Amino acid sequence: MKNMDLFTSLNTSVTALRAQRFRMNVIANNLANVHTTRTEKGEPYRRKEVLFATNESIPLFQDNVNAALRKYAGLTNTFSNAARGVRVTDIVEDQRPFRELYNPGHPDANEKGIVRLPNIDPIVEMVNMMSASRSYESNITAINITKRMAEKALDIGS
Amino acid sequence: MANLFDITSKSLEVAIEGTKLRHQLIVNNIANGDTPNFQSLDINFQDALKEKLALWRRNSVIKGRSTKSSLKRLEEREFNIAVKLSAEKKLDASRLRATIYTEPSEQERLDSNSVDVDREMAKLMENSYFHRAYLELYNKKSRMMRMAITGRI
Amino acid sequence: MKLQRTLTPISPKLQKNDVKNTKSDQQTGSFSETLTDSMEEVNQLQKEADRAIEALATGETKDIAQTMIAVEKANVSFQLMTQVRNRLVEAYQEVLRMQS
Repeated sequence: MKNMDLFTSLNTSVTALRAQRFRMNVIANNLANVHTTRTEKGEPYRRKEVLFATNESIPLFQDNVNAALRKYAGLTNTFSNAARGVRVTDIVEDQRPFRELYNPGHPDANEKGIVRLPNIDPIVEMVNMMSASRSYESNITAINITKRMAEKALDIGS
Repeated sequence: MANLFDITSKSLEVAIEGTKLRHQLIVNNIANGDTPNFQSLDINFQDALKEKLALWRRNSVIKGRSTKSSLKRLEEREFNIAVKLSAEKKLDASRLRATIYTEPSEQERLDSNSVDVDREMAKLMENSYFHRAYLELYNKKSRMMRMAITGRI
Repeated sequence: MKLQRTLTPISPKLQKNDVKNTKSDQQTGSFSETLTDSMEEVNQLQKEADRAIEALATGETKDIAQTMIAVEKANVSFQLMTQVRNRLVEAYQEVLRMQS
């Protein structure tokens, strides 16, 4: 159990903060583009989503330290990367069909007079935003607790 | 009590390490609260510690040898006291093997994520409280030891 | 604590070998017996504190307050014993100085 300390927890929480903030940005972008009927691609704005995954395969400095310790010092009980945090793997576009609205006077209406609007439901986006914000707050609390635990260890001996 | 090298201090050290490790896992659970297919992890070092302590006591009584030598013999051998739960990984914590296990959630989520953020927060608070308590107890012991050595309060 | 009762009459009974027991009828037992009993009590409190700590570490009890109280009891009695020892050593040294 040699190379595990509380600062790895800080790193884990930071990855989560970063991921949730990224998610917030994507949600905010969705909300901002809720009426965008034309993008560069020519079609309406497609709703975007983030994909999360655990952060196991990204090599960190600690893994290099562990590998070196295993090789040179023969230490076998180095902790693996089971508790690294979360990362955003991909931004995907929601493939559900666009909303359609009959509005012949609109510049982007097709020959039938139908305008295609983005497949974004503001209520869904708001709920996701609240979820992201709540996750963000829980991770902030986790950071505070980690900090208090680490500070307490400094008191040994005094 | 004023002895930093007895079995109680070792238990405290294991407890401190165990709570620290549990903290890592809980923080990871919170960080992965939205990751699909993620199963929340936890660790139970107390049972392993309890079994090891019972083993040590039994050995030191039955064999009738001095406590120091039997403890040394115990430490030399590798004790694989795995907690029998749905084992995910085996982890070595200060010569102690406690298993990291997955905790199923009460509610089924569409994305198969088993993390219950409220339960994880409660575990986080409780675990950090115990971690600080163990640290404080260790501190008290070391202060007493120092007082015994120097004779000054 | 038993030590409290013995501390108030600070008698020349401290050194049984060097000084004559002029107040031998003042206490029920000899000072060294009382001291040994008190040390046994201190030792007992230490053992209980150790047991409480182990119970907390293995998760048998979740009551930190009880553990802290047991530890504090052991600590305070140990401190008292240490102070008594310090005073005894000082008194002994003073007695030695007196003799020379």
